[in-house]
Amino acid sequence: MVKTFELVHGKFRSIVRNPRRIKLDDYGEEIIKNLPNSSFRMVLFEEYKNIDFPIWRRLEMEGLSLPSRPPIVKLETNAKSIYECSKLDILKEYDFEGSDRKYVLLADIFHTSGVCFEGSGKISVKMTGDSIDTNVYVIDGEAKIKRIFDGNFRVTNSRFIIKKNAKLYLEDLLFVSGVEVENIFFYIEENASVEYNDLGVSKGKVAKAVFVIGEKDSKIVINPRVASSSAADVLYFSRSNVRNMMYVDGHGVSIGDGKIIFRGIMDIKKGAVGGDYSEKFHTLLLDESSTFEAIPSLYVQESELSAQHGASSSPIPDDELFYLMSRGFDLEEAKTMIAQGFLLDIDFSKEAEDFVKRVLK
Amino acid sequence: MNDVKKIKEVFDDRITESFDTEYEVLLPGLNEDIVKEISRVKNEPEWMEAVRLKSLEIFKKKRDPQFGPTLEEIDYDKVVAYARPGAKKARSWDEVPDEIKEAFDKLGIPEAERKILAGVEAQLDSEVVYSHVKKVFDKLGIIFTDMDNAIKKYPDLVKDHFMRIVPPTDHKFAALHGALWSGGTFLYVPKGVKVPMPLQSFFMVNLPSMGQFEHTIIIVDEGAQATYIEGCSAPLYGVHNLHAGVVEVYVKRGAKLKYLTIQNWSKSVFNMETKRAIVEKDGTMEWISASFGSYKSMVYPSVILKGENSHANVISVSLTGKGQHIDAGTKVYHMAPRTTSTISSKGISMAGGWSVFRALLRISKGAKGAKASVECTSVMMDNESRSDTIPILEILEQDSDVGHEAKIGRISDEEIFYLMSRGLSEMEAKTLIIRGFMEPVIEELPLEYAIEINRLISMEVEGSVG
Repeated sequence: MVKTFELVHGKFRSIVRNPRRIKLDDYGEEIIKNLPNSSFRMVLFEEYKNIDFPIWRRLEMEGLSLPSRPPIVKLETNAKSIYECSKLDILKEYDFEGSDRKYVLLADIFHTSGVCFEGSGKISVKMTGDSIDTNVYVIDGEAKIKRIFDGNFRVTNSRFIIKKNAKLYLEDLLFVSGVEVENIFFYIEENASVEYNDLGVSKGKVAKAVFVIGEKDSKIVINPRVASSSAADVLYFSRSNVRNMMYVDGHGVSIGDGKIIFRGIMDIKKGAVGGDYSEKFHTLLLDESSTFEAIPSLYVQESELSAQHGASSSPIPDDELFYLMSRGFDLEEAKTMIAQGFLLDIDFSKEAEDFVKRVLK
Repeated sequence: MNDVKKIKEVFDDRITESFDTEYEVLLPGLNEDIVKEISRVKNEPEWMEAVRLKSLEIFKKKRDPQFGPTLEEIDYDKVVAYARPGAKKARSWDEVPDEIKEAFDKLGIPEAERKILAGVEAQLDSEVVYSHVKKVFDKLGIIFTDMDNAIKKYPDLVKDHFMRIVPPTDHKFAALHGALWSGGTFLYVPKGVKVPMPLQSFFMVNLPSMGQFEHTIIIVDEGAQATYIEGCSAPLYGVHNLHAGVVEVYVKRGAKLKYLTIQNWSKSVFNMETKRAIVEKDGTMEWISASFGSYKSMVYPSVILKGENSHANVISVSLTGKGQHIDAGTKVYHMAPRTTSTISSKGISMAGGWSVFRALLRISKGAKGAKASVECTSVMMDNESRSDTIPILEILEQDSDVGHEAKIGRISDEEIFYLMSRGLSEMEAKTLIIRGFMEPVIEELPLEYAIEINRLISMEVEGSVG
């Protein structure tokens, strides 16, 4: 299992802070018995049942109020369902700790939906409604995947295995009105590459974590665009011990009482000679009560590389507002236009604009 | 109190490796009797004994910090909480006993520096052994004395400022400090006074297992200005020493303090110091530090910008070498409108050392117009070392402007090759480059300290090359 923190150096060790935990109403064995692949799920449940729900202080989220039974989302896709997946062992083979082990296991054990894809080509996945899902994508050529989620509640995992020399273009468009906990794991083989445009819009609480392990000469570029009028905590993590590349360039817009938390962990081990790692986060605070936090951290054990991070926040520049208002837009219209342009500065599908408008209203 | 024979029984032959200074010490351990005994021998007022006992109770309930280096090697039962050097307080440098002068020699403090030192408060373990305040300070109304004397002569001033910014409840080592503190410096600069020269203190640990818990209070009154330089060091022992000092700085309206630290604890010292400043309207606080020593460190000088238009400037350089795990950084809290801060950190890790830089920058709600920047650059001299940077930015005010940048890299082979092709050895080339990297701090220091830092850099690089 890929652990999120490995804070050891020679004889020295650093403390890894564990979140406080809380006991809540939880799913049990009786639910598993009624789901497909129950024996596989039961093996994971042995670990799950001993872990309580985390209390996330920054997100102000104490555990999770689960629906009485795992919800079933409306799924439209040209890929196979996870139930048709012949390689469920991938879940164990590419296992990871995620933002919290509890939620990774929750989605793997209690999923009622998901996608299983192996190959190349164009894939679209649209989920509407509440969901607990787990997804597996094995890319062995050039693939373009577009995924849309529009709902109130979701706990989800996705594992992407990008085979040697393969290319993935991934677009995620998300609108959450309630709660979403999402864990994504990329395993990128030698000389493979990923471009990931990721729009997350929320009126509820979102905790998203993206984990990347790359082999030699792999490359990933992530462009997170996050807008929230509630709270969104997004983490981008990579671990490397060979030469590869990871760029994260995040934009956030915090609206009303919204809070955006950008985290980055670049864990670069000895051997990543010539690697190139960069993470940048910039957030616009749209309103007086909007807030922003950034924790862009670097953990570096190799000297011959380039590693950098940056973070910044500001209100919308007065001169930009003035320019638009002098052309007849009122203050709110001007703010909305600037925020929209800041979030949709990269090539998203047409649904993206609708999601952004819904939260900016 | 126990006599020196007793110490030799406690430390067996290790004491002979130490400097040949006689001590009166309390036996190792941490309990109510030891705490009361410290208060008794120092003839403290009742309120101070109460603070100590309350702090001890808090300490017992506190757990280790939930981040940073593991600290299980600290055995609190073996920490010697208090030792008084046998030397009496001296009025002039000539009166300081030879063995203590010899200790300073071993630490490499140049002769010129001693002569230039304007007002020295040198603390050998727990007691001030040398005190010389120039008459000019008396004329200006500047109080620059040791804490024991300050409690006796200025009880109200001390009571009003003692452990107010760093309360014993803050964390485990603040509580430990509250129970065991001893020695330290008290500085008061009256309204409008500009101290004409830097004030300096030097602290050292001179016994195996000795704990160093000095307390420093600096009050710079309205419109006043001062520069304070603190140095600290310790010989290397086979057992760990613990340093858990506290520094509390009060910068009043329109005042300015520049606080410089040159930290060269030996690589057997746990450095768990807490430094915090509170700055009122239009005030300026500058923390400038150069850190070389210690075994494990957790030090995060903090500034609370309480008053409108107050300013913080934090510059730090550190060199982390073999057998060191240094977790250090800065915290700045913007609590008022139009406050500004700059944090600039430069770190070098080499010879397998682990350097961690943390920064916490909080712009509180209502700190309208606040501006802040955090910049961190780390250089790794080899790929046996480790360098982490973990900044936390918390922006709770929309009308603020905050930026952060960090880079980790190495000294390029081309730079070293260029210098070597001009006749420098590899060590000289690396030393020269590191000195250039550390220039922002070195240029702030008086000449004597700059020389000392350059010598320390050479020693560290020498140990890492070849």
